Amino acid sequence: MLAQIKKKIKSSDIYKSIFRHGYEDTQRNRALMVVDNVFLHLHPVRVSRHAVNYGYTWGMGGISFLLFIILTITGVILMFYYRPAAEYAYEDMKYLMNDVPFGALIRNMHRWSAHLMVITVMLHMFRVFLTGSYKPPRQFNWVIGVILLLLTFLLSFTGYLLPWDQLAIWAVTVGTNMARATPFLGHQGPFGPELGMRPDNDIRFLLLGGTQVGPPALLRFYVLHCIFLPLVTAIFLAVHFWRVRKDGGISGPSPKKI
Amino acid sequence: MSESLNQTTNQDVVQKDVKKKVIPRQDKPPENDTGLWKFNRRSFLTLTGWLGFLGFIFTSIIGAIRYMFPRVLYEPPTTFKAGYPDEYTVGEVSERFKDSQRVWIVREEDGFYALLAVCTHLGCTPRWLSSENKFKCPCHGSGFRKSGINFEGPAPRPLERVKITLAEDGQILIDKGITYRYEKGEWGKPGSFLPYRG
Amino acid sequence: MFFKWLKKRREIPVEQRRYDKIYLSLALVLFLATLWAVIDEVSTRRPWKEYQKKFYQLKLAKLDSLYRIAVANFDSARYKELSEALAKAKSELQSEEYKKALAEYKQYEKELAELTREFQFAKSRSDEYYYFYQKAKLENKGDKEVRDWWTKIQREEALMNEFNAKIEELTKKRDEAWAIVKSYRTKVSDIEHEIDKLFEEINKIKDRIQKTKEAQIKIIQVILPEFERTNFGTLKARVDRCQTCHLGWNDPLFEDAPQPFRTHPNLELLQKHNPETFGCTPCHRGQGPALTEGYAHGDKDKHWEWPILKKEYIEAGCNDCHFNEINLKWAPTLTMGKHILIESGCYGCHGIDGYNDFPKVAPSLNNLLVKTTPGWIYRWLLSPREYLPHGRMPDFKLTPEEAEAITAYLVKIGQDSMRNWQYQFKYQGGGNPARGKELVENIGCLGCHAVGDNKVVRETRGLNYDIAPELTKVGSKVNPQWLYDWLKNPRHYLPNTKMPSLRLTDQEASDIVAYLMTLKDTVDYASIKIDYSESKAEQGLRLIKSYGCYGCHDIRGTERETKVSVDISDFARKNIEQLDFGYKEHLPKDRLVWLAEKLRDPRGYSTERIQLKMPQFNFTDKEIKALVTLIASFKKNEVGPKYVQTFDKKRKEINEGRRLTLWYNCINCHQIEEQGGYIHPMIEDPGLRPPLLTIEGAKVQEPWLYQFLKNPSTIRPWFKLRMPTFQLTDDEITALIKYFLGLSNQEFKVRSYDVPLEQKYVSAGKVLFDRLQCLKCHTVGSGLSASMLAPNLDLAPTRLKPEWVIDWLRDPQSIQPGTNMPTFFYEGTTPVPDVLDGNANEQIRALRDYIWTFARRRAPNLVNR
Repeated sequence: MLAQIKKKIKSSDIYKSIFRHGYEDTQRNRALMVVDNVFLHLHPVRVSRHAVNYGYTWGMGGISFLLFIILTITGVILMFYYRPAAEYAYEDMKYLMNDVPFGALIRNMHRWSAHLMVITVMLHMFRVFLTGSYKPPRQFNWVIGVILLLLTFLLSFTGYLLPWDQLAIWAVTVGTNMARATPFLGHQGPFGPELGMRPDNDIRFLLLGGTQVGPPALLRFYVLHCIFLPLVTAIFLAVHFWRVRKDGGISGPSPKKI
Repeated sequence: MSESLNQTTNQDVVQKDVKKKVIPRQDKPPENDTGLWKFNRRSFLTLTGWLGFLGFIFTSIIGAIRYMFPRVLYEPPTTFKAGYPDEYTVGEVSERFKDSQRVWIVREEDGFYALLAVCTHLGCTPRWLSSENKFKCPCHGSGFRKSGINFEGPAPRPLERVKITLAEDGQILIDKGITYRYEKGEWGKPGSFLPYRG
Repeated sequence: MFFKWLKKRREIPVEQRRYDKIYLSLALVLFLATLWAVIDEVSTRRPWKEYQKKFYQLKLAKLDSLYRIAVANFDSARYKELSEALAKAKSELQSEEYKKALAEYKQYEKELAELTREFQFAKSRSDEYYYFYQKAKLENKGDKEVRDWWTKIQREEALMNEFNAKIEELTKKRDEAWAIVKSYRTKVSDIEHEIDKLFEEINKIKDRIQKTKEAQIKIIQVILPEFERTNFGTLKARVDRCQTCHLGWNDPLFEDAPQPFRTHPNLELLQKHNPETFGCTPCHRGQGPALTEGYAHGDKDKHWEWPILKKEYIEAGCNDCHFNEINLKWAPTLTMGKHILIESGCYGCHGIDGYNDFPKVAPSLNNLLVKTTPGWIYRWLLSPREYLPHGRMPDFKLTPEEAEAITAYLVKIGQDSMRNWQYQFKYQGGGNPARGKELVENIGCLGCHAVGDNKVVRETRGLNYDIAPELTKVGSKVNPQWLYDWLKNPRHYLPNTKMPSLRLTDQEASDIVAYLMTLKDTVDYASIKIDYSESKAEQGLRLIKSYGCYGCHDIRGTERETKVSVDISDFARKNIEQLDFGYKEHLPKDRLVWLAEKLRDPRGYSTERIQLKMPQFNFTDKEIKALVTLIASFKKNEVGPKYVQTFDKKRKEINEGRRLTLWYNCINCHQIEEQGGYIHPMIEDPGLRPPLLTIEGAKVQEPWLYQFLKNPSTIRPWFKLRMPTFQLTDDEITALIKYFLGLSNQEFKVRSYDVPLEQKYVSAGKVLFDRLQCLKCHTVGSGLSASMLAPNLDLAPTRLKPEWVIDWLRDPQSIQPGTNMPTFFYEGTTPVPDVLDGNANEQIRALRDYIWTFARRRAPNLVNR
């Protein structure tokens, strides 16, 4: 009787459309599961032996990606309560910390994951550099990686302003003051004044939407942090993973040694 | 260390080749497949692991739902304190809180009730005409008796009463968040009327 | 062990490594972390839940004991009596008429309800038809349809009218029936009411117990919209949740309960600042929205700018909204701080918002040589405490060279001015020191100056510094000619001095000079040799500029200098990192601790590289506490205008008056608004003390007060004290008059002080005037003499306000406690029953009217004066 029901369920269209391949532990099935899964399809069907060797890869790329996912989820959850306006931002952050159940947990997860991601991405790069994995044919992916590092920094930097406390405001004030000295594009940078750069039309203004860190800067950083930069990062991540596969999978020890 | 590592990998390659020969096609489950539901020590560990993971997922979902219900809101409070009962005289329709809270407090011989000063027609604030013993809306002429029941003009239903109780310090406490409608038979409910004798 | 396992594991081929144990342990870690997060969320981070539970338990215990007391005190005998009466009254309700009326009443009620419902239905139908009627009209459906709807409406409206009429009629009938029912029931309900009253206390406690049991564990918060400012200047709300834990603040039951439940110590103050609507943080500071102790108080959150104010400095919070008021009734320490700040002249060196335009506290030094000798100047600069142990001049701890240089400069500018100096009054020598001594002790000098052992004013003021220089050694400091000139007209030497003229005769002035010149110091100032060279003088000027002496003194050559020290208007905003502790690193890192230590030892934070210049004031701990309280409130106001004490015209006038009475030390002799009267302990007889001035606005006529302040005339010749001539400007006098009027809730206006005189009252008044023997103390028509006991009544019509005289006669003691004026009309009764039918009010009016006739008689004189 139970077996009959089981069989009926298993042969139904709905079940088959969800669990396309069952749990049969065969090599073919494994490959199919990876290929047919939208979340796993960027992943190579076959993984070389050395790819699972943590001693070699440190798993930093994977951890970075996991942190990115955690950040995305917690970030979306935080957006339910956060309003990017000068009057509310700090209060909303306090509200999350004090009154929203699990608000403090989510915010702390977001904050610590963000700090951690900067570290793991850098360690990832460090490993790639040490193992020489930037060498052909992976030179293009190295550049993508550098862009991703930059995006991680930018995400971290833009997120830093959002609590809207003194630390945030002054950190971003200092951070964006550097933009004043950008060559050509900053009003204090080399050739900037000659090109007509003023505090109200240079690259820093573009970043802040004003000449000081004020309410417009908060909104700009918010949009950058929540929409623009994550989207761009996601696109580059896709390219990054794709290239990993196309350039022969995760780099490993020199074949000569094997 | 690297040498020993290399040795093992070399061995692995050899082993792999051997395995491949033994099982030429793998499009069928192996004969001795334990499956997910077969119970033994190994699968027990995995199952417990899954249990822990599911526990995490379950708690997280509950937490996420709870997250959507903050402990406090910044909405203005619906309640206000309207002084001590002795400050009102019997038969009086007090307009003390009409401007600030849009509420009349009526003191009857045996207690209090509070009427919302919103005309049920189009929401104007009626006036209390003490000489004629009625509420009259200046907009379209709706009239209400002292009890709040409409008797003339376009107003379709009686004025609403709001919750009136005594606070712990003995002051009258009015909660505008809870209203009582005559046409629903709610004027008999406790809270719509505060029994009080001097 | 772990590495062993790892090594063993590494030997297994990659494909055959098992992960179930790793997975299990990681899954368990994840699960446990989740559990920990839940516990943290529900309990660890919410200590207030525990507090609330504890509070309600405590409250229940307290209420329970109250309940027991109430039950024990219950008057059961009375209850028995009443319940018997009730049973008896109830049995009377068996009459037929009552039953019939009750049945009728119930019937009418039912019918009324039905009728009202029918009326509402008819109303709804009528509204419906009206909709169709309008629709038909708008869509031009033709006359017939329109007419049909209209007739339907008419029908319903007729019905409604009918119902309404019936309702009115029924209501009347019902009320009639109810009247009968009530007439029977009154007795019962009265007794019931009595019983209820008997149970009132018990029921109240029961009700409170019930409510406490039902109390929910929840956050209690107050929101103050537009209370504070963001860093961009826009207003934003303040959220305040202190009452989530501090639950017993308004319940006197918790007076001795442990914190956080204790009752607020000043519930009277909270009547005006109700925490239910105003919150706690506006006064106490702290972090309103936080819900754990350390964060909420803000003292354990080093990132929070405004930690809770400690009890000793609590009054600093008042100044956030009341910053523009000089005296605050509920904040004596803060008020004292403001007074010390003004009197010590802190604003001379420091910029302080709200005090910057106060005049310099110390005298001009341009004409110094007219008054004293270079030797004295040198010794004074070297150590001001030596000559005046309680002087206000702070000790700059100058080296002998520095003191010599500054003396040289002062002598230089002094010599310049001395050449052109002319005394207004010439001292002829002579004078009787004994008489001088008596004068000094009696005419009021001691109100400000201490002499010898007499320190009464210093002690009653409770401050360590004197408001005027002590005269114990004055004979060594000044020369007699200058002193004579100074006493006759202080404004000749210092045009803006606070020192008033006491209108001394030449003889009196000579006597006082003779006496004061006998008061000598032990130091021989004449023997001190000073180098007056030009270079020394130049060095002196540099030192004066560097120490900022010009902040308090006018000194020629420094007219264009600006304040020498830091602006402290926003001291309370400073971060602890911005304060240099020097070598006093052992102090707790707290702004206010730093500040108190700075005031105690101004140069204590000096290091080899940073030499501090602030001079040593002689503040006591009490004064330091007051100043710290005040300075802790200097945060550049950011409170929303809605919450700042409305500073309307009246308050402004009162505040200006308070400033003036403080500045001119009126409060040293007079008591105003429960303040001042420091001289009182010196005079035993309350009737001889300077009059209380709180009532002055209600009491005297404005033109008279103007004249009096301009040029005081004697009112009470039996007083030895003299009201000095302060040489006030018209503006200052106007401000004072407005101040007194404001204190009495009166407006400044031009009005007549005549009263319409009626023969009836005037003649009755004369009879009373004689019978009450007013002339036993008062005089009429004669001149002034020291043997008088009460003011000359001739003055009354031009001096007093007629309505005040009425109040005064009714109850003099309540207006001026301790006065010699007898209360004739004690509690509205009269000692003279046969005049004006013994009506006290009429008699008082008659007396007043009679006194006002004196004005008519002397009118020509008044004009002449």
